[in-house]
Amino acid sequence: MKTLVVAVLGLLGILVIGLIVTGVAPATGFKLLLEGAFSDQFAVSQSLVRATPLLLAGLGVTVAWKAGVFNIGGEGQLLIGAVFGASTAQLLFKLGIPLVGTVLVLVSSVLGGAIWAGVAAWLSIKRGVNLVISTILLNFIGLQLLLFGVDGPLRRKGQSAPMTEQLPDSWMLWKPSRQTDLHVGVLLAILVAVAIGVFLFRTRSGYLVRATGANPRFVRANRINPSAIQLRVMLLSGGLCGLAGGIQFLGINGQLTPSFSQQYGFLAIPVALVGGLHPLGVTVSSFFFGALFAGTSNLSRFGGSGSYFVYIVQGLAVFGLLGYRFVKDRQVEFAQ
Amino acid sequence: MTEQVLSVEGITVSFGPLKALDDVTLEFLSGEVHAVVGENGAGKSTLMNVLAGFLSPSSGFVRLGDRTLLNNSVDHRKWGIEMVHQHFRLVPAFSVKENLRLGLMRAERTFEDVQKVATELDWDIPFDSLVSDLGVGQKQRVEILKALASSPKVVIFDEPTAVLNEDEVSGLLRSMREFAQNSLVVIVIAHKLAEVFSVADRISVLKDGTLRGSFRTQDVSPREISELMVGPQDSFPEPVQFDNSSKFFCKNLSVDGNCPIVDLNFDVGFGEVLGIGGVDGNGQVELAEALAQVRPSEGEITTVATIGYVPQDRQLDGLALSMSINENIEIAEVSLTGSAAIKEYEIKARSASAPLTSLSGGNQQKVVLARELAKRPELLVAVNPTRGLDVRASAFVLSQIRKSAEQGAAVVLISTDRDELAAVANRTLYLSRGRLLNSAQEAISA
Repeated sequence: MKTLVVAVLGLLGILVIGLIVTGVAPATGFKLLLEGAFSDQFAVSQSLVRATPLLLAGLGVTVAWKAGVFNIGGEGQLLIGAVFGASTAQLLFKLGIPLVGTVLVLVSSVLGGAIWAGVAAWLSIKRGVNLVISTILLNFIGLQLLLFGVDGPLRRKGQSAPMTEQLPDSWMLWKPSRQTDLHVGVLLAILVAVAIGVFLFRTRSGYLVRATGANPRFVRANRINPSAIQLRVMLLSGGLCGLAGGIQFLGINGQLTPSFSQQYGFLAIPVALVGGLHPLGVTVSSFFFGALFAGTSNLSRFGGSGSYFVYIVQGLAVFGLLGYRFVKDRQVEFAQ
Repeated sequence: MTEQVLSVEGITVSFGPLKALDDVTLEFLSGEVHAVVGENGAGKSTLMNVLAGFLSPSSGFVRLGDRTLLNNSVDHRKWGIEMVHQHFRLVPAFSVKENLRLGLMRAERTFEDVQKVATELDWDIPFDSLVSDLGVGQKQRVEILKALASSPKVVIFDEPTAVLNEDEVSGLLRSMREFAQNSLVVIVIAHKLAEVFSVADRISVLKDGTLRGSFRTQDVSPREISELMVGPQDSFPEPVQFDNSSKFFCKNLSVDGNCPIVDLNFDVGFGEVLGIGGVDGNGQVELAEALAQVRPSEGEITTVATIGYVPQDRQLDGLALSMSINENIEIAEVSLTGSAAIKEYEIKARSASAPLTSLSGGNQQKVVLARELAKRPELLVAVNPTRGLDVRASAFVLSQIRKSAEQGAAVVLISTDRDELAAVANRTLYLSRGRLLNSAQEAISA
């Protein structure tokens, strides 16, 4: 309870600081942010839709970090997931199987993300390559593969601009209303969050993931191989990030372009940290940052300065969190 | 010539409702070795942290001479209070010289001064070796030199003998006497009363955060001190008799590691406690991990259904410190619950969902033991299971290990503590450079 109050007050304080830093009067800024995030159907749908990839990739980061695997490669895994999805869509499009096709596209984006994460995991376990560094670098390779794809094999026929075929609505995720961007992927992401919560806290495998994160040598001394757990959790993490890419592809764009990357895979890291690496917390924090995203685009329309706002607030939030942890850990240390 | 140098007056330290120290007033005289004894959790470490300025008391003062100190470590060090930590604060990848230079940065002394101190103490320190290549005893000497470098008035030793073998212990105790003769105040936290009585001029007893008494060593007996610490003591019962007909065998066992084991042969009866002694680093970890099937090995080992393993380092291998008592037991998939373990093993903890970081060392070890014994192991491997524990916790741990043998387990107790082996083991072998020998003398001369 106390932590929650500290967190809410802290985030409000950080918002104020963020507004001052970007040169907007806090009262006006708050009004614009809130309007952009909640004022009408469109605003709310924007908040939810922005939160969806953050939630899925944030869950991906969470499971990996819970096992002590610092996957920084969410962005690359998300992009490769989208590339796999788009490739599958291109292959299957002629078959004319909309609903099955949608599922297959999502499955292949999960696979794509998992394979991309698997590369880093394999390098780490078999070759001792530092996973933080390999996942960071694989982000860049992933982005370049996306650019190569949309400008090469996946490019729309008869087009010189780098973009893939636009999928028809029948292949896309179901939308309750044509007026807004809201799609069924939001619900799917929340269900995934519940599933990850159950997995981590109600199953033996989830327990072993947490134990490995707490102390891999403890797991080893109990005759269980922590590397195998970390490998599997990395595949799961990559799969979730890939799914974020697939859902973004089928929910919003229906098409890949060079600007498909919105940095959701990077933002997922602060989302997961602010969410306390807990599925429930990550859900809350992803919706907070989703709303902030939506509010920020409003702010930049009227306030003149704000499109970087989200990133500044995220950065400050992570600093605040780390500072709070540091102080708390020191208190614990001395209490012993 | 002794004079009062350091004193604490009315020190109280509270952590929430818990009083770690309650109105402690104590004087420390120069030229004396002053031992502070007590059970785990009695408040010794808290007192040392207050003395060293790492912890501010809720009330009370620390005075050095007639100066009241500011309760921060910078100030305490400035006026000459140094601490030799139990867990060394050295950079393993640096040479000894580099580590000392690091320590000297705030002192107005040169490396040559430190070298001279080492020569005076007749310590042979390989200044150019990497710290990671040094043995425990030598690392501690480096740590002590670091503390002495700034010509302190007070040196505090936090359980310095816990990690040392017998020769190193007697060397250290000799050095402490020398420091006191050079009119330093030497304060030492200790567990083993034999060591305390051989080195200390004055003994102060803490229990439950209060001072139970402060005595000149010649005025008091070990028995009196131990009763003040823990109450009357039971002695160990005789080693158990066991059925010799079925045995756990180990044939031509070879294990890779820092100290490889080649062609080791031994057997342990089910119901027997086999002690394995010897100095650390002679293959203990390799042997234990091979028996516990945590490390691959070659050779023939009797197949057993369940193995209990109490690793040498409970914090490194035995436990996940950030997890709860429940979660630390969960890994073994046994029917024991955290709250049952708390009750049965008298673990001092708020609840079964309390993280292991909130438990003292002895209580942490009880969690390891509760989990491993709940498996009803056919083979129990324990490495230095009482290291760092107080008298009562040690006795409890050893009696549980014995109980496991009585219930039919083959127990391999690997320990550097001869008293412990003598008390519990039916028979003892000694490890020396990866080979098993029949006596300690052989092991030392090998």
